[in-house]
Amino acid sequence: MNQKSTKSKKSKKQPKQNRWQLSAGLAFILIGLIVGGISLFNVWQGQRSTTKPQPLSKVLSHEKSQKASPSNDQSLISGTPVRIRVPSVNIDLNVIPGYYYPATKSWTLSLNNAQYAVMTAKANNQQGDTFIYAHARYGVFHDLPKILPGAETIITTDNGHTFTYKFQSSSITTPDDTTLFDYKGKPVLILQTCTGTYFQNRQLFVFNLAKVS
Amino acid sequence: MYQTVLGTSTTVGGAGAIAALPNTGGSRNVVLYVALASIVLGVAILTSNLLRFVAKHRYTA
Repeated sequence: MNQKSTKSKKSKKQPKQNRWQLSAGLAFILIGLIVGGISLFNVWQGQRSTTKPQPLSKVLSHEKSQKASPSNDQSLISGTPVRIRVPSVNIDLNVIPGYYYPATKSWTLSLNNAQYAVMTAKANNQQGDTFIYAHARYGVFHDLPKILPGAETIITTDNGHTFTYKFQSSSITTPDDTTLFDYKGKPVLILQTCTGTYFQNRQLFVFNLAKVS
Repeated sequence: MYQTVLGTSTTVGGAGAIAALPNTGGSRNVVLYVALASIVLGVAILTSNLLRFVAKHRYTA
């Protein structure tokens, strides 16, 4: 008699337990999908550029066509970038040297600073592209995609000069696109950060030199 | 070419030796990992229930 009542109690508990487990399983899946979806949406939203990216070859060929022609009355002014400011998107960072190691095919990286690729042109008023890169992190280059055409970037150099550039256009490209290192046209600034769900692509922002002081 | 006017090159073979752009990724998305873990846990719970159901009905049938 006792065995029968124990068995019936157990069998009553079992469906209830199963129902709880099923509910818990479904709840975990639903919460995961909602939270994951919102997170991915935020990543996409944060990386959305305010301007439509152009192919890099198109952006740089436009600059190249206005070819570098140093005039006789314009003496060369150049310097190594040590600070970068983009007031419209609240970027104000130190710039440290960035190096590339051919043996390991890797670059030096900094979590919190921008880096100037030392094999590219120094900030100058005559020729070439000055290439500065930084992580797509909050407080670094995370908000750079929000930049609008004509927005200014101010580069301060180690010898006290200030170069002001104006944003022209951006380009999204693959990591193996190294065409910017072949550029020889009028002086431009190129900023780079990563983009994509897994930050698998590179977004390049091209700025034209506006003034030097 | 850059050396004479615009700065020194610090790569062997100059800028032509560069194979890729820097890997300037963003912060790890912890929320996304937590969401994925939640989905995996939910699937594991449902799977174990399903297996138990199948085993129970197979052996009692």
